[in-house]
Amino acid sequence: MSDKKFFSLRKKLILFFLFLVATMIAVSYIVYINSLNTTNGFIVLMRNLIVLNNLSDNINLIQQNLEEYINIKTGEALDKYNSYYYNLTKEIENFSLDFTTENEYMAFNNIKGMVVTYAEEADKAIWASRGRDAGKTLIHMNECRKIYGYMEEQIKYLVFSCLSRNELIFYTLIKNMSRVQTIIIIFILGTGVLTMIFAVAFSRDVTRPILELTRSAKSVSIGNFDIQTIKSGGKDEISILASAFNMMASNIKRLIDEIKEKAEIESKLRQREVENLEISNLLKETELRALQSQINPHFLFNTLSCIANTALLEGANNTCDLLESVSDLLRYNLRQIDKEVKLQDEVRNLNTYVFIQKARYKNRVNFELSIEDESLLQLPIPCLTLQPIVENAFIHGVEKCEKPGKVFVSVYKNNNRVIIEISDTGMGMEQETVKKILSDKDDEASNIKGHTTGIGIKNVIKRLQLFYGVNDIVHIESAINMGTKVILSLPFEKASVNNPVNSNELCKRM
Amino acid sequence: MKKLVISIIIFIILLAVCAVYLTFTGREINHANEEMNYDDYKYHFVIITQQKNDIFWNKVEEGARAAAKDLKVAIQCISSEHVDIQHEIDSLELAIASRVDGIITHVPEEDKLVPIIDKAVERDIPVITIDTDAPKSKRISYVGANNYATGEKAANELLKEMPEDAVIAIIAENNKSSRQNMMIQGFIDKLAEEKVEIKKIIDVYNPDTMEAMDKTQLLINSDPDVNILFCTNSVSTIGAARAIVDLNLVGKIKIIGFGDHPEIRRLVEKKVISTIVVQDPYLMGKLAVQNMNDYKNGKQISEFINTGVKVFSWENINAFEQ
Repeated sequence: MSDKKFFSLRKKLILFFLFLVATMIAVSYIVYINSLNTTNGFIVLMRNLIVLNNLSDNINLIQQNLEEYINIKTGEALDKYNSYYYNLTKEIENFSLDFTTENEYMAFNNIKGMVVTYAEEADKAIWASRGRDAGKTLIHMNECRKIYGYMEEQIKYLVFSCLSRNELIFYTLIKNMSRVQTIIIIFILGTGVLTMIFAVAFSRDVTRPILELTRSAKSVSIGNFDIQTIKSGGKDEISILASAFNMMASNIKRLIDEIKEKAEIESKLRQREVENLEISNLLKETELRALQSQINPHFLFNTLSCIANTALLEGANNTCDLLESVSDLLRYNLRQIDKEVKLQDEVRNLNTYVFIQKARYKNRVNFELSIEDESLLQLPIPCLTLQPIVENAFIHGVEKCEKPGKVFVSVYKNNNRVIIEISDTGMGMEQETVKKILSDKDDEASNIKGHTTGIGIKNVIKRLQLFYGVNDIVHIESAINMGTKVILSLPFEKASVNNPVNSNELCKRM
Repeated sequence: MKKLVISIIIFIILLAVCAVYLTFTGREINHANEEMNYDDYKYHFVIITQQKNDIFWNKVEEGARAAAKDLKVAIQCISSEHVDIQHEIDSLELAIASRVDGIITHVPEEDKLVPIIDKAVERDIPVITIDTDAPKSKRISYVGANNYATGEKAANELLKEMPEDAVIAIIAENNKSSRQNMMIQGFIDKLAEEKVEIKKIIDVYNPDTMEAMDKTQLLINSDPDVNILFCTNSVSTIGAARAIVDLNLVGKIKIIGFGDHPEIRRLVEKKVISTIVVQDPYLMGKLAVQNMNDYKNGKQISEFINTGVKVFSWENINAFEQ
């Protein structure tokens, strides 16, 4: 924008008018000078001739009056002669002829000299005539006539010389005039052509961008922003208008684009919000369902014990026992999982579970529990560790077999460890499955959750490891169709203080 | 727009150039001769010559003007269109009446001019005769060649290669100017010493090439014996030479010419004219003005100022300068 100097329309116009005025002044000046020269030339031309003519007339008059005086002797003629002679001398004194050649100057000098000589001879003639000396008068008069003739001759020479010189001046002037006329015509034509060119160029310069502007403005007004940028060569108001318009149009276009973009983003956002809303709705629904499925355990226990009492009152002792067992099992299961219990609690819970299972499977299952030493039951143990394993034994060892199955649980002491053996006569497992269960990896296949507690064998193993701070706790022996034996070898002492925290965390993670 | 600006600038420059040009050309007319100021000239001399547009007298005027320019003297050259004794006398009278400072004049006829020259001198106007002399008058000096000696010199040149059967004719002007008379006299006297006679003297009226040619042809037709022609001026020299060329007698008739003219020089180179006797008109004009100026300034000047005579023939014509 600022690389070129700002050149306003007004400046342009003023400059142009200045140029026009200057041209006119120049032309006028040239014409004036030329006419002055021409006039001067003609004045010189005429003045020379007039002066010479006057001179000739004067000399003529002098001669006439002298002749008259000599012939007729009138005082009037003598007076006239004297006055004319006086005029002549004055005239010659003030004579100002522009001599261009030496000969002209000399001719004039000759006249000057001859006037004096003439006067001398005339005086002599006058005196002689007064003295009545006719002969002498005649001699001097002849002399006077001769000199008069010479003077006329010289004047004639001067006139011709002037004329021939004037001819030169005249033709020079004529030539000059015609030349000046040609130049003036060229000037006028040139000025005219330049003015026209300027007018056309200027109007085009001004109107073309304006036309473009109006066209663009129209197209912008009907909402079409895809306009070409308006080009303007000069640096004037129009170009500023054009560039401002260009900028405005491009800005509007940009803004509109931005708004469009924003609208798009907003619509996308709204869509996502709707989606989110749907998700949250689903969640709430699920939550609701979850809530619906929840029943207060205490209500359940109370209800169960109420049913049990009812069964007892009605004389259904078995039902009463079963309901109480279920109630106990539920209570034990619902207690806080991170709490430490004693082996005897676990065993009691196991008996409850087995009682229920026996009621279910009747004679299909044979459960045996052997405890070597009652003191072993004081062993601290994490809650709900035995039940999931026994549950597995029931499921795999009894439930899935056609024939009646056996589940043995024996607790004994060996090498400062309490060994708990849980074996079944079920379908057994492949070695790979055993390895998977014993490996540290968490995967769906190995982490089979218990039916009642929802706790998998792997969870049990990990909790035991953390609880006692020892890794070699679980040993599984299994063969297909031969049954499975899970051996837990537990140390007497539980691990250091921080372990329960870990077990707690583990429990929370579950 | 840029083009327009450039064209405007060009136009303005054009305008300026034209304006300056016109202004100066206009001035030329009025101020062409401003530098000439004749009032500075100390003396005004008049030179009266025999004839206008004559190579000899043009040279005289040229020399006179050159000298006048150096000396800051104004001169007026008065001459008639043709040879006209009355015009020369009138011119002299005019100069006297005009009270000029000095008169340098050619003397067409001594007898007629002596009283007028004397009248001028009586009125304190010094007179110097040029080319031809008027020894009887009161003129202060004569500037020119010794015409008698010129005739003698021509005769000497002729005598150098004089054929046995020489028949000599002289082609002269009819007006008896003292220069011509003296020259012929010198020529005849010198030849008389060697006992050679002149066959004929032919007068040519108003020296004119055509007339000289015609007269020469007539002479040769009537006197076929003539084999030597002595011409006393440049015009008759050219005329005679042309006649010889026309008659196909080049080499048979010997011409001894007088005066300087490019045509004469050309004819000498072509051996149509065997010898020319040349005076120095430029020097005459120059010395006349210089001596007149000296006289006016009160210096003594010699009564006879010899401008010399030169002889040129085919051998040395290339050495001819001027």
